[in-house]
Amino acid sequence: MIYFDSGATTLQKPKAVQAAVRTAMRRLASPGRGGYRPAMEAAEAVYDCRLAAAALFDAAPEQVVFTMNATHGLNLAIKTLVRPGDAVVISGFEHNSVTRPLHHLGAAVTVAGERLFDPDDTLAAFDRAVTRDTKAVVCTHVSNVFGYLLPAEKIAALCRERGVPFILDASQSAGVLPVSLRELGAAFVAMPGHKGLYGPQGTGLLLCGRKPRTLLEGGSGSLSKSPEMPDFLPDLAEAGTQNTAGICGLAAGLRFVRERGTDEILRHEQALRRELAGALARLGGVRVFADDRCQTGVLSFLLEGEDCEKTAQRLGERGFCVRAGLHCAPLAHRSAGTLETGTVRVSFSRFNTQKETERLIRYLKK
Amino acid sequence: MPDYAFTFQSITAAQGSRNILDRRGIENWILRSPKSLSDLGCGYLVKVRGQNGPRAAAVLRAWGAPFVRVYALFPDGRIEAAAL
Repeated sequence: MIYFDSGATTLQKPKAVQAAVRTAMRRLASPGRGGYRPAMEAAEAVYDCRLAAAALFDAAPEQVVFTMNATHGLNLAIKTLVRPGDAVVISGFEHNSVTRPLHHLGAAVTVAGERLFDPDDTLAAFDRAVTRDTKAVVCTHVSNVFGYLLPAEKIAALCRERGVPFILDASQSAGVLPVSLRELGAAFVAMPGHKGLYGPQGTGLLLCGRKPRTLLEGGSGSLSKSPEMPDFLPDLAEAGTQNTAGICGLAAGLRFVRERGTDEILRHEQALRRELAGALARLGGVRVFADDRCQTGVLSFLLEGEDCEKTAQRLGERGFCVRAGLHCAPLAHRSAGTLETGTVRVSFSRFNTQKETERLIRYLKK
Repeated sequence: MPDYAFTFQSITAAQGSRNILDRRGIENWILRSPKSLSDLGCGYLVKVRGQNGPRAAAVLRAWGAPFVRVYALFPDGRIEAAAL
């Protein structure tokens, strides 16, 4: 089996991640809920992960909120800033984790920048769309379908100039690109723990440049007499018992990313994507969505005359794990003109190798 | 001489302050607050030895650490509000 679906979740994890989860399940109780040793050790383990995330993403430890996944974090962020009817600007490459909460809220959404692999056009479109009346801008850092690297830093700067809160969806960039909460001046940055950060599923992070509203209320291990949630981070946004084992695994994943460095990880994944894109383009009869100027390690393609799901099924039967369809991002497909066809997506991680990529190329050549 | 306790509303705030003291070489311990010291229930404290109390207070204030109050913890079990 060769796994090429890291855009959904990374399957190969550093060994330290599994070891950390196992150890946590054996030894750690509920963090922040008791003074006895397994509870205090759990609290230290959770804080250790907070520190690791704060260091990697240039935030204060208190600004790091643990979530279930990026969707959870995006819901917290969006539902903090947006009320029904509010004007919100999003890119043309957003995932349903952004568009569905906005639809649910009844926001007045403007889509800015629908040209694939055209960061100048994307930025110009945000420049036109964002006004002082805009209540929030939500932008993905990297398209989960096409690997398109959007000019998020410049969009964030534009938002700062106009006093508009900015939410970054770092689902495909965390662990692959530098992300700095401080430099972005973002209201929120949401990310999963289980993709480029190599943590277990069920983990995510929300970096908070401001206080979120609560999505859940309940026990926080603090100010227990009060009927209200504490008004300070991170307790405000972390009701209920934490996923301590998952958080310990995530801490190990964060250490792996920090030791390797995002530059090295990005270069590795881009090299594999470049090799595959070039080979597919030379095959003929393949529509390849590639642009080396602004693309990470995610590649979409379509074999002419074959349904994308059929292609993925054939590949799956030969042991290649790729994802076909709309990738929960119909807006991105609409922007790229692939809403009716979908695409086949290959998404690399640091654990993929050139040999694996060559095997996929050899099979597709047949 | 009593030891001193800095109370915090959350474990995360206590841990952040603990790390500040650690970096300054001030020995300390995180403990659950006695019920009598946490007006709204469930807090944590960072305890330091008596001779380190004034320095710890100065360091934490300089860093803007969000401690709520300072208490003197006497060997006979008495706890009194302290002004450091």
